[in-house]
Amino acid sequence: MSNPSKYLDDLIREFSKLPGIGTKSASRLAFHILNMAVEDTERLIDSIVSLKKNIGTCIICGGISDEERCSICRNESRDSGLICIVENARDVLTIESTGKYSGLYHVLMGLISPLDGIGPEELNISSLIKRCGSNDVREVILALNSTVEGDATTLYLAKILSNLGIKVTRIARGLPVGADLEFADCATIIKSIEGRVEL
Amino acid sequence: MYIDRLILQNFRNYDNLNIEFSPGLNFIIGENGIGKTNILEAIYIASNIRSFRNIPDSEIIRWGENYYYCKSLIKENEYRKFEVGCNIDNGNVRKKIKIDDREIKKASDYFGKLLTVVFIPVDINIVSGSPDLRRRFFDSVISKIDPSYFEVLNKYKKILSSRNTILKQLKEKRSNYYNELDIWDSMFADSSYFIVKKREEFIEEFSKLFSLSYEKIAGTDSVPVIEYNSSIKSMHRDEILSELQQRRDKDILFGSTGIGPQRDDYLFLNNKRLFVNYASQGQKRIAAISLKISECDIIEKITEKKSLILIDDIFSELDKNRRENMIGLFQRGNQVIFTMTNSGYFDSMNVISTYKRFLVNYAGITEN
Ligand SMILES: Nc1ncnc2c1ncn2[C@@H]1O[C@H](COP(=O)(O)OP(=O)(O)OP(=O)(O)O)[C@@H](O)[C@H]1O
Ligand SMILES: [Mg+2]
Ligand SMILES: [Zn+2]
Repeated sequence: MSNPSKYLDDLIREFSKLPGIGTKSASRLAFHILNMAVEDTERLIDSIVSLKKNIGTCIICGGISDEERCSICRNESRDSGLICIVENARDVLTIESTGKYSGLYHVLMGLISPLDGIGPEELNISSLIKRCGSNDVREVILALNSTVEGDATTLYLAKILSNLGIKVTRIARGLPVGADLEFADCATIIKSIEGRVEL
Repeated sequence: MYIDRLILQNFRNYDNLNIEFSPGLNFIIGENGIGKTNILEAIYIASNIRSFRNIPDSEIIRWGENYYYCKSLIKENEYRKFEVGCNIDNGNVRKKIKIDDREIKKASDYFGKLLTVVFIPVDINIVSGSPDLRRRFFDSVISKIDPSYFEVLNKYKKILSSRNTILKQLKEKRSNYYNELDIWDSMFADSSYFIVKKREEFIEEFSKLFSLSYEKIAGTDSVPVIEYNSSIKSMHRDEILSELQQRRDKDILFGSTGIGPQRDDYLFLNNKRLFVNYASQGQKRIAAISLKISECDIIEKITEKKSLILIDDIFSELDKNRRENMIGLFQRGNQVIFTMTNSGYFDSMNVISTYKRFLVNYAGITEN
């Protein structure tokens, strides 16, 4: 099989490296782009390049951010006494999509997993402890998956944080065992936050 | 449940095979090395994903080909169609499993859907081999009847290796892992408490069934029982935890966990005497067969489902009386597929169920 254009081939190959995209959808996308107006393709390229250039990590919570501090941490109407701890930045988007949570977040960027060489030192934990020690945090919600690694991280943080005199809760197990936050629907997420239990 | 039809492509010595079984007894007869066990292996793979022969999947693909395909059509079961495909491409082995046309990605999603109990010559090692073979056997039986056991067991295995990793790091004096060890201790106590309790309850029930079927085959012979032996038997979760914490220094020194389900054993005893130390080859064989019969019994009792029974050539070590006792035990409404080299065994059996007889030779399989 050979395509009439090497440029088309290149773009198809790049697209098919993306998650969930096979050769067929890649070639459909490539042909679509071929027929787009030049200004439109430039806007598309720009948005990709600026995404890579400008997005960084929030110095407070570790989530994604366009500035030093993310829009959630900057928002003064949010409840700064409540912090929800999640595994990664995508979990923040998932919980935000419910529109029902008004506290702040803290992104660990992973879970404790000795078999993968990941201990507490490798995670975004020291800044969490600083956060909890310095201001008016009254409750921390642990919203980690109920895998072995998620459970270990939950227990570890519960121990450290309750030593600081903070109320520690974990989300209710409305989620099927091992199910990712990512796959749960809004109603389930809201229910598991509302039904959180103290550790 | 029973297998109605088996379809194979490039599976071991078969390029194409399509056989229809009897829902009662099936006898596959042929000389050594002709491909009888291969048929049982195919059915076993449909139910367990892995072969009972401890070998990589690539070995199963017919020599000179690059894939195998195996389809089992099951009747009197919630799930009807089990397909396993395996291909090898540039040295990469890819395996695809489908139940009723839906692809299965997680082990817990296929386990227990096609229930088979297999009798193979190496079963005797469950009786006389190392403890891990007994643990593996009993774990697989408990998992079939209790999915929560399977789930916790998998978690526990990960918890154990995580804990051992931390112990080794502590031994090398790498930083302050003590906080972390506390976490793993607590998770280890939770999961091993659950497992040991399940094993204890299970063996109490199972041992009765085992003694019963041993007696049915062996007749007058004195009957052994199975006793569960665990370093943390009958301990409560908190007792396990404090035991772990007491022996911490020792565990760190050895870089591994000294107590727990990974050290359990199941002992065959007769008046406190260890069965393996006195039993003859034939007696060990009877014990091995009784284990598998009790497996069918307990699955039936708890799930109310009849397993498909696969019996690979286990007659040769038994005398005529015991062979006949055994055939009687297998006419219990389950589908059974036997392999044998000698049709003489077949002729001397008192078969009352409906049956089919297959002859295997170099030209292929014929029903007769
Ligand atoms: N990957 C393969 N491709 C082709 N043939 C194979 C493959 N693997 C095994 N065989 C053939 O299968 C035969 C063994 O089949 P099997 O174990 O089913 O024999 P059997 O009839 O059970 O014999 P026995 O009575 O000795 O137990 C071997 O002789 C070998 O030639
Ligand atoms: Mg054989
Ligand atoms: Zn932030």
